Amino acid sequence: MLAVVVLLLAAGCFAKDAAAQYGSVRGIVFDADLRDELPGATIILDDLDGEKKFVVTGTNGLFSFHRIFPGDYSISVSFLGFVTQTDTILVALGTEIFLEIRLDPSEIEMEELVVETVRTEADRFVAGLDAVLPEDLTRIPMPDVSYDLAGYLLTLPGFVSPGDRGGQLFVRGGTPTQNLFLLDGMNIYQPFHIVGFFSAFPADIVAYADVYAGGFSARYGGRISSVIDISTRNGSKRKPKGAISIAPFMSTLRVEAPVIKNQASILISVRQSLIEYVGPTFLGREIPFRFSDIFAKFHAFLNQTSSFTATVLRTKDQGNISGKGAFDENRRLSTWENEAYGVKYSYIPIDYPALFTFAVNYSRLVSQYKVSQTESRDSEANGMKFEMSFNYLLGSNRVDIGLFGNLDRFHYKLGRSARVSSFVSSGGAYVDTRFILNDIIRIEPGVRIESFSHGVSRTVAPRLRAIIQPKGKSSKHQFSFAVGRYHQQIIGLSNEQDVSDVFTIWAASPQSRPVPTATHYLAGWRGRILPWVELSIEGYLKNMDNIAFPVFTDQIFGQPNFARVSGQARGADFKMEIQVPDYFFSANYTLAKVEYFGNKTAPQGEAVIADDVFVPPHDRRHQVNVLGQVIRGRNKLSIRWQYGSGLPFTQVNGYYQFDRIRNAEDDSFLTSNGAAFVSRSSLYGARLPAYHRLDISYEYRIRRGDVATTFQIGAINVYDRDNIFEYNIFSGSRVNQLPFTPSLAVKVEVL
Amino acid sequence: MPRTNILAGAVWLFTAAAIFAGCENSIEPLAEDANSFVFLNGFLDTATDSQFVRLEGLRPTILAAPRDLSGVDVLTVDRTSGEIVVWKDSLVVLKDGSDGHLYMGLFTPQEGHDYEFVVRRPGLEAATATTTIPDEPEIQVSTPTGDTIVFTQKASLRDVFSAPSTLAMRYDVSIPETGEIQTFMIDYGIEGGAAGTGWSFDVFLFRDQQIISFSLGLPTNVASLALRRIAAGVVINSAEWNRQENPTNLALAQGFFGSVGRFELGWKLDPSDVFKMGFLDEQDLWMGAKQDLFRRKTVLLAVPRQ
Repeated sequence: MLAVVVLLLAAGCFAKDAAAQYGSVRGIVFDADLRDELPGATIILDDLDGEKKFVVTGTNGLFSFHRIFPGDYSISVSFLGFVTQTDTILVALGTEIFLEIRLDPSEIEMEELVVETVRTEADRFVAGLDAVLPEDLTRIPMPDVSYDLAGYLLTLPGFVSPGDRGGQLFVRGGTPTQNLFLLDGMNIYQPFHIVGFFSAFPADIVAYADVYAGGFSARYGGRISSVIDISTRNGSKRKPKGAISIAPFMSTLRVEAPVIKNQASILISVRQSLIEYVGPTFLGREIPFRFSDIFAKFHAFLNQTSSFTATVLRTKDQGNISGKGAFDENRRLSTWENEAYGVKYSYIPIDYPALFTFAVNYSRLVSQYKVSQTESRDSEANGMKFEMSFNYLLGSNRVDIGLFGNLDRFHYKLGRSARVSSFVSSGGAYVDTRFILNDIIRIEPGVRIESFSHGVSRTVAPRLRAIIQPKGKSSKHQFSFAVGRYHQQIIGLSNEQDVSDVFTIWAASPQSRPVPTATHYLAGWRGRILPWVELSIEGYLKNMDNIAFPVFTDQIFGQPNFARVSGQARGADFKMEIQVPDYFFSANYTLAKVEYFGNKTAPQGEAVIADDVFVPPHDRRHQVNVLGQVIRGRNKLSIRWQYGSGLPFTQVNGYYQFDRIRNAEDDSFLTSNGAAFVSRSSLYGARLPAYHRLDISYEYRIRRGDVATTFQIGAINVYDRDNIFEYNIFSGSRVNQLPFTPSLAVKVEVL
Repeated sequence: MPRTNILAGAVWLFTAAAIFAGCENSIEPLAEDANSFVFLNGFLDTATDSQFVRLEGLRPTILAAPRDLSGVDVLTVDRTSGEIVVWKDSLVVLKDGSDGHLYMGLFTPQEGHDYEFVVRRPGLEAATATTTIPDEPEIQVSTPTGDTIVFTQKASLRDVFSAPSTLAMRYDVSIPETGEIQTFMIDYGIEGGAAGTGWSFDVFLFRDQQIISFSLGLPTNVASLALRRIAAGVVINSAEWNRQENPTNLALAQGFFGSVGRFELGWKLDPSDVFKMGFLDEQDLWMGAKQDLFRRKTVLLAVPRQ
């Protein structure tokens, strides 16, 4: 049944159409079962004379038709997996109708359907944004039949990873600690597992992810490079479901069930690595990585208008990043554990197009790097976040207002040095808006005002995005622009001299110094040159200031310091996507350049980098990702090839033993050996070899009633390229990434 | 859109990918001019006619032996006078039992002169290091002040604006009974501070007399010793000492190269002041010539801790 609540609102409540001879129709579409808003539902308004208008609901399930002539209309709402609903409405002169539509889930699984677009065309093409659906994740060949967001992120243009372990991600010139990873609003400090194909975000729990490589809106703050905002789906409220999968790297158990039928549900996902045990037997070599994660989500409708969500995530990783040595050697052993807990309350008034949300989240990261049996580095980050937001619809426009507060505490200890602690707080408000000026132009201005306990006292960060469709919604070409200013009170210090090192110290920005800032400029074009071919180009410029960059002494094993530098990242992403029934092909190329500018002077306690300009170790100039997929009935074949030009590193002139002469009376230097020092050549003046790899996977899926079984066979690094992961300049030893690695996986799902 | 075209495109791309498999994949960890670099550690000293530095090639890896420097020419060029001194290699046993190379140059550096240390090897660019020997500073003293217990004299080293490496007071005293002359050096540590015209410090005249008398076992309250000469012993480091973390005077070299100037800066006290500090005055009997007692091996008397 089409549950339509027609609310004839006074004309003055919302913006009227300019021409009084029209009416308008707006509304919101919900999943009647889960009661969540349904983004991507298609609404067809038929004037009964054969003229039809189409719209697709936006991210909050909202839609609108403007300039509708008065009269009777048939309205039809459809969405994959739901029963299509139709009804008739009467549009009166100068009035606006607001519809609240609830779609019932379909009892019949619809196979062989191409997933419809989930956003409007304008939503889909926003500068800096890649809107990711679970289906996108399953296109990437992985040694796991359950898939993971990490595999997908590494195919995005401008996303640079130094290798297949450690899980460091550099986005358009930004460093890993400048990326904001949100899982249902919870900040995840170190979201990647030690094997970089995997993250804390298995595809099974992802509802959608907004991946902003830059230019993100005012509702996001605290990081200056990118935002990966992941929303998880709710567990089934109708019947128990689940899945179990076994794969050499990661095995998964997922259970979801109603706690109170049609009202409350729970979703639990548990994953555990097996590669540590499987490696020696099946692959003939040790792969000393151990990782796991647990995710649980409880969701309940408290009543007709409000819902409650509680989410928990825990991850654990341990291993020797260099891939050598067993755990008991305790050398170069990295360990990190994430914890995140969050609750969210949402309220949607029946008679008003608004959404109110209150959320509290706590996140924690404990990490350790054991250099040797006796020396370790330890770091801990704790963050508490409060956020209250109001989302209003004003006609087809939208205003989001949010208030937020953050409390963060950090500790770190390096070797025998004393433990260092810091505490920071911040708070502020944001206003994020969307104005659809006409069919051609849509603008999204916003501002974020935030006060920091460290660094500068208050920041005002304006943001603006615009989308232009020269010929309206039928336009084959779209242009998108974004500009914004970003601040980050928290700094992450990692051994960036060695991009493969994952140990990161999280700390507060120095009290009396400006916080790290960035300004993003993005401009893009997308054109559908053929119905099945889409091309896009996006250029970006990212200016960064007060970036903490580690500086190492020439003395080997000397305590590192950091310099505060500025930087600039610029580049362009080129993307082509071909999509026809059964076939998908995409290729993207990134041309990029990242430069840092040395500081000439530094306050007490900070280091100086004398170089005027240097490239940081994540400056990858060229990157290519090619992805192909063929689906035929129960068969699915995925192929991916990646290429990345060499990352910079610093060559050495050699090593020497040096005993510093203390004064003119000291002649012990003539016979002492002294400590070991390294003589470095120009900073990051050389390049490692290029990286490239081919991965393939093939799947066969069988379904019997409610049980689906998927078999997967695949291989990583098909042509066994020796891709360098790490080169130890001290010892001259080289560690490569994973060689040719076959995999066999099976997954059984109860649907 | 013909699907075969898509497949053909994909096949083409993946074939291209396979071709990449044979690409260059090696790493060159050493810089192109790495062989030209040497390790140098030492300083020129005006107080001796035999100069020593440690000089070795760099090690290609941390545990490897230093690169061979055989056939190397090592010399210093006095850029002020033009004099060239060739240094000689000698082996020394280091504390860990391994061999090290000491290079020796037989000359006495001259104050105010610029020296260039040059390491030449066939086919390689020369490694060099430079230093300027500090000039002898002028000392300016004021009239002593204070009573007998706190009887001090303000002294200033003109145009010296950073702490001398060593600052000591030299007293030549004679013992009237025997006529023996003894020299005492009293270490002042890092005394004083940079003032308008240079490094200013207090000379603790009475206290120093007490230290000297006490060390000879003589009564400190009776003037039993005669002062022949008072002077400040000053060691001034070249500018390189302040930039050891980021040396700017080395080319194709790592380590340290600097110089020190050692100076005795004497003056004459008023006889009444000599008496007030607790000595008899025999300054007029001083023979006049500087004595090179302020050497590296001179034992300095420590100032008693308060």
